[in-house]
Amino acid sequence: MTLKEGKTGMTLKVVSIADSALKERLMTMGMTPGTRVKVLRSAPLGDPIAVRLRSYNLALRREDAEKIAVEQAG
Amino acid sequence: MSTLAVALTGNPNTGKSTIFNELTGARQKIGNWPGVTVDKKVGYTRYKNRAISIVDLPGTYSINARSPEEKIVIDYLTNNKLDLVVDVVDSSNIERNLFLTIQLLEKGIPVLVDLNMKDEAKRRGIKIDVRKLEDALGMPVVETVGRDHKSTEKLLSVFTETVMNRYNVSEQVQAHIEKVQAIEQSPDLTESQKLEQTIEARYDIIDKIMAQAVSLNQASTSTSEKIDKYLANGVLALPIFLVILYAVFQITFTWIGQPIADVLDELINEDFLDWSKDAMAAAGVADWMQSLVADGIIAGVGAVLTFVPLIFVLFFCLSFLDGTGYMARIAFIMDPIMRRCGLTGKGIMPLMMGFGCGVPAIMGARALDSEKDRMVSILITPFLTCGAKLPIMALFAAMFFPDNAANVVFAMYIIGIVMAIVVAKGLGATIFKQEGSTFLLELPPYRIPDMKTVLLETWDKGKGYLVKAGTIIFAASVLIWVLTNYNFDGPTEEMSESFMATLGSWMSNLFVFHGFASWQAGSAVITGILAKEAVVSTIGILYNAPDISTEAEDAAETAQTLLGTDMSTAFTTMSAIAFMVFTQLYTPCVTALGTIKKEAGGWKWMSFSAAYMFVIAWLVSLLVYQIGTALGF
Amino acid sequence: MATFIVGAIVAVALFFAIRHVYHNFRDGKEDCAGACGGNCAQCMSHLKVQKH
Repeated sequence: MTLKEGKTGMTLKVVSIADSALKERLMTMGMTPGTRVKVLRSAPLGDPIAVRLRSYNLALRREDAEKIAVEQAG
Repeated sequence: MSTLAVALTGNPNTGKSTIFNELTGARQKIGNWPGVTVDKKVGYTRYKNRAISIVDLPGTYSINARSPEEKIVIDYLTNNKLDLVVDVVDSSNIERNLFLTIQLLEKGIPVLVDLNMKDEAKRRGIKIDVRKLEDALGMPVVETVGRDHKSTEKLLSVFTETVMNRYNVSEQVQAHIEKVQAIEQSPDLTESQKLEQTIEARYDIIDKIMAQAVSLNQASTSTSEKIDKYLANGVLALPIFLVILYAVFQITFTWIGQPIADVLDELINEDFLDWSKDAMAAAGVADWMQSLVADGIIAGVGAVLTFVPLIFVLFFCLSFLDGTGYMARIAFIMDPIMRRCGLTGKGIMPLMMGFGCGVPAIMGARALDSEKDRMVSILITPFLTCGAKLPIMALFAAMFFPDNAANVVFAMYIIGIVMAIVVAKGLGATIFKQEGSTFLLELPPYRIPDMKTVLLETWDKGKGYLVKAGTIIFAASVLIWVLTNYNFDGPTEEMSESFMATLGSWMSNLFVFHGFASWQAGSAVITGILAKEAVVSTIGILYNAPDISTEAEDAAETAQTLLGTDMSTAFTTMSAIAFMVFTQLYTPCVTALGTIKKEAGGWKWMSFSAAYMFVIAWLVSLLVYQIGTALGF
Repeated sequence: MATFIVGAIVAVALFFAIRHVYHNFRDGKEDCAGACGGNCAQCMSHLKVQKH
């Protein structure tokens, strides 16, 4: 599944990030494979979404979240 | 003893500015970094007779030299002999903050790690063992609470005791550095693979350090998250945003700003003006010189100075909101709307600055990554009501809509915003059809802003307005006075026969169907291109002139009322609105045009911007006036 | 005499004002209301994520 499909409150684990303009930036901000990401909420109009990783909150668009492959964290 | 040279570095939102302000107080100098328009701040302080100079480097998440700010940081740190580099780390966000720390260590830059906001970390269940962190990094670590004076005292004492060359990175960090060098030199990897592996290696060592020195116990939801339930989520978020925006305007125009402005107006335009006239008359100064000083300089500069309280109150509100972390939420909740308007949510940050001044807003657009976002943002920013247009709006609103001043000004802001959106959409559909942008944004925790930082920031922002009043507005006032009191035959008694009247009436031919075809309004439109404040100065000079004010029967009437009486004959309610709309939207001031030329790259865009804005302003203002009068207003 | 003194003060002030404007123009600097003097890093921090 991808981060885009994550529901509010879910904790997920990053598997990989598809090649995109944003990839390096996402990784610098701590979105590396293995990182646990919690889906916090979406903005009032449904997009972008806010996630929690490495003890801080990050907002990204759904179309970018779609490029991040994740799995359920145990 | 020689001066101790210290540089502060750190991520954005770490309270670095607060630490800097706390350490140096008002002993700061602001300059420019070479080649770029990012401000360079240097502060000075003393501790136990040791002079200390502190440079506040721009806040960055990393030092990959991808942005001007990152380049400044890396260049400064490599080219200068510093006694100490202090890396300000937000304790409550230590994990991602350590990325920069590790990068600094990789470059061989020894750092003193300042764990800031330890109180916040504690509240959020993050425990950091300082000794263990020192061992894990091999670098000294200090804990501080930004606004607490004691902890900055402590920081100062550590400054003077710490000599960085005594420290060496820990074994594990050394191993990491070698690993990164190995990746860099590996022949089998592509550039992007190298980069990605390096980033992963950095987070690997960070994970290790975290395990050694930090314990996380985040069972409870933080206060920020609770607040975000309302401010960044759900049906209430957008209405709350509008209410906050509206409150800012009310504070500025009704509750705090305007009352102070009224007092100042009385002081300058009555008390001081009368006093200077009397003093000059008593000293036997020639009439024309009296007129230059009183009707030219004091009227022109005074008209602008009166609005200083409004500007400062508005900037205070914006700085305060920025300090709370709410600005990032605005970008978050507005992104879908901004996207539909052909912009990005992040574009709202420079645009919000556009309410202060178009110049930094246009420069701020540089940080947007796609060419389309940048160009559109640059071209629409001047539609917004900047701090210099605000006096025009405030003056006309106060004069023609005394009971609804704040609402009318608010409406003008909305017109500016709507036009910006319409044009953004238009540009997106025509000239810039490339692909859209991306959006990645940290949502920092909510904080109670540090008052000292907010006040210093307000001062920094508002100061430019004062400087302008004393320089370009002063010079323009003298010029306008000359233009209004002379013509080709020398001095003229009748202002309506002056150079200015000729220029103004030539210009006013364009506004025959707008209801404000007077030469005074035409002159104001011309001088407004020099600086928007000059619209108010021009009106101040033109309507405050003695040959007009003698008409007033009651000499005891205030100057304000005189101004009002004269102007209300020149404008009707509807033509006042048309004039406001026109000045709100027309050609940006020369400074903004210069910035557009620099940022958008060339005369072409600059002339385009100047011309299309004039045309749009002319059309919209015409529509407003014609429809308004047709409806019987 | 008084005219001369007032005139001299105005002229000197005007000289410095115009010099300031000229220097700004020459150095490509602007002082304007809202320049985030020194706090660009702060007020644009959210934007900088984009630049990596």
